[in-house]
Amino acid sequence: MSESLAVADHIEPAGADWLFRIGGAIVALVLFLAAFGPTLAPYNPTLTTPEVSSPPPALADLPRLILTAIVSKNTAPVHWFGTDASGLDIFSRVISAPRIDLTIALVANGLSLLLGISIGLLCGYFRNLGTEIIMRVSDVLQSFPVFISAMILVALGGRSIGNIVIALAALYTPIYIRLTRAEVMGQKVRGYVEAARAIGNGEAMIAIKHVLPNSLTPALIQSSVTVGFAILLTAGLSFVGAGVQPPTPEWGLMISTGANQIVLGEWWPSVFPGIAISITVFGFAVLGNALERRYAAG
Amino acid sequence: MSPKLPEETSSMSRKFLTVLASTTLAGLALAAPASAADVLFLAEDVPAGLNYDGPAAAIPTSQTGMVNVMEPLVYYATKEVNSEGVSIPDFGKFEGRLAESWTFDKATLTWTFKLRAGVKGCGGATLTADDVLYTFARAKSVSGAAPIGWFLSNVGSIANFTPAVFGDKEENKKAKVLGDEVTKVDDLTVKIRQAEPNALFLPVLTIFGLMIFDKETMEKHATKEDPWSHNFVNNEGMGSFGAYCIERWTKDNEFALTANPDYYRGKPAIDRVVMKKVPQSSNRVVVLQSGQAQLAQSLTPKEYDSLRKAPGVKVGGHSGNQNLFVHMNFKSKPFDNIKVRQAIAYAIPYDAIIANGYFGQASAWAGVVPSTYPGYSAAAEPYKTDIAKAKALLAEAGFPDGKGLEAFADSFALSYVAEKETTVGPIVNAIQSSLREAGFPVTLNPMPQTQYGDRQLVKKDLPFAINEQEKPIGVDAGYATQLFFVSGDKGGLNNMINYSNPMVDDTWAKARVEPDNAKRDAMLASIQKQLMSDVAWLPVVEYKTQFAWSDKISGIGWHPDNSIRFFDLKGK
Repeated sequence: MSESLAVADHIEPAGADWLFRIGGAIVALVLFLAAFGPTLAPYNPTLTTPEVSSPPPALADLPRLILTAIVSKNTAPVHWFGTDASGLDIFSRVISAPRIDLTIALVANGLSLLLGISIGLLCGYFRNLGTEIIMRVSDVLQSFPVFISAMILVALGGRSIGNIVIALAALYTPIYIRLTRAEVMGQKVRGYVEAARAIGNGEAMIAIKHVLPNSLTPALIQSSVTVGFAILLTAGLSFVGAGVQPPTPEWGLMISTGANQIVLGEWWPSVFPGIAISITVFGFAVLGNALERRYAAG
Repeated sequence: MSPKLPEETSSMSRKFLTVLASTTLAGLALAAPASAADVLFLAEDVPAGLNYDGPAAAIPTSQTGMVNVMEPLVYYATKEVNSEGVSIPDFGKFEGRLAESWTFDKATLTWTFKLRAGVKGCGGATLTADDVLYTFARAKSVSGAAPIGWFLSNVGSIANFTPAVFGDKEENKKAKVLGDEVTKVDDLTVKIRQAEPNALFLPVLTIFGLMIFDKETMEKHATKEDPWSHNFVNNEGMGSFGAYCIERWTKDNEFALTANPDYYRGKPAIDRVVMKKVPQSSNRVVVLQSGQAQLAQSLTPKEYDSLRKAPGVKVGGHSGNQNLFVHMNFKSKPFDNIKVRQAIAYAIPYDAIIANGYFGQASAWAGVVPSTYPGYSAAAEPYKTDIAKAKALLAEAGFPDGKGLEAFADSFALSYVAEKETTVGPIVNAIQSSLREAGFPVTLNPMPQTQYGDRQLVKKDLPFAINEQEKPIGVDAGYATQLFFVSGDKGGLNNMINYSNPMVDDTWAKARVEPDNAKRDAMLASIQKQLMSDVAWLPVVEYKTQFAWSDKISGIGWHPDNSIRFFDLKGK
């Protein structure tokens, strides 16, 4: 390869860094809200207020209201996103929801990552009948529509956060198995593996100490995208009534609760959480994409 | 209070409505009525079955099917048309339906019914005494999955309709056969004998669960395995003498009826009624507003409220027997503590529920029996929201500021029907917030209707719940007492809270057979006073049964089963 071509391979595509920053900023904001959202919320996100089905303030009123909120500490907080049919403050619920959504997504993703990498390493490094069976089971699991499978698993286990986490983890594990297995199969024929074997390392030691660290990158990059989709799936489950229990602040549940009011002209209970989901999933997807490009470039 | 929408919101809403209406209407095109004299009725479902001795009897839309294709012996006269254009029955005045007249012999406790001559059913058969005997024989056979006919006969004290019918022993088999308690005098005369004096006799005859079958048609569809034609009325059709005949019945989709031309009260004004399943209430609203449908029911209070202002649509209702109460199970700690129950009673946000949950179409309920029913007695001092008093009572109960209640977290999971989230959601959220303010660690527990029903009425193990679907169809305070508050082992079939008080059991046992109405009412009043004092149910509100209809029709009527009688409808 000529020197000029080698340099070109390492040039990041135009805008990739920009996307990385956008994605990183969104993910950072979501993480921040997961940590501090309920504390920052002007109202308790699970308790009703006397204002029922109150629309958000008009755009023209926003400067005045912001000024009042800063200057006067005695007035009741503004319902920036309005209230729903129960009188729950939508802004407080939208910024509190990441704690639930992200917790579910991160724990489920962590579990599936751990399981997927372990099984993927096993199946990629040790090729035998047992590992082939594991792969075929994994294929079968992947062949079911993810959303339907999640609904069935939650229905069987019951409607709780723990069961949603288990359902999502079970569904995402095969993705990591396949990614890790493919990478392990490529790594195990590399020279460093031969070298490790030549100096007397056992196969298990080579797999864990040498092959695994070199096979993690695809799964880790995938995990950023998976977290975004896990948030989307959690919201979807809540939307169809198989997710978290009301009045837990959760975006999908908020959209579901507000959906029936749209016909009556009340768009705000469902539109604001919808925007929040879109931005969050976009953020995780863009971050994953940017990481992938960096990996490919590196 | 309904919010005033900004101009852009209304505009956006209208555009959205247009799109939604177009898509929903496309789906309804096949069901659209053929002429202005036809009615398209949008409901959450169509009848799942027409057999009142089966599980379908508990489903409101199935009841709507039954009452329009069947006919009772007697019914209530119309009292008035209220200010909202809804006719109301007079519970103190019975009028003949299939029975032209009747007499009662106090000495022998025997009722003699003279049937109308020349009443023709959809199958072409003419009403005779044999149809009445068939109906009661079928009820006594307890051959259906849910013996409602037997239950109502038992509640009305018809002789020999006793629990002896249940079982497979020889004596049980004999008890299932209709004897001389219901006899044919001639082709148009029937005698029914009671075992004891009981004022519930005529009220139970008005209920859909004792409407009269057309024996001839029913027997045509009988089989050796199913001699009482349960499968036929569960799945295919009906043999009776109602105002409408079944034209087409596609479960989960459509129930089309045509007027019975030989109906004894005259041919119905509406030639054809198509009951169409539109599961989402918001879609029913859109289609009704578009003018394509003429009638809709089971909307949310908020949707009814919005339709009151819609052009071409009328909304009306009547506070008859629908109510909302808090269910606290006496077998679940800490609800066995009267102070805890009273504390909860003072922590309920009654006014907020009326305003925000029912948009003003409800009123505080001061008793445990519908206030429109004969025998109702209001509490002298109904519960009102008083958080300070609730906290004081909680402290008296041994839980100052709610400390110690965390141990009963499972008990404080407030259950409700998940499918009714749109209607009940604002109410349970308001209750949760208010109870938390008073110190109760309440969480919400929506559950599917089937699971809710199973745990509430079969297992009876729901600790804490919101119930807005129990309505005593038998129009009498005694019927409600018998059904909900008498101890389970003494016949309290739907005593879902496991309440048991010897005073209530004993007083009802006497009131049940008391022929003097004044004395009976006094006994019923003392029972209701005791129930309120024990917080057996925690009554919250009585809400209106509402209907929404096109201004091109009239004749909407409220009935204790909350089902519209299509015969009463008129086109304009």
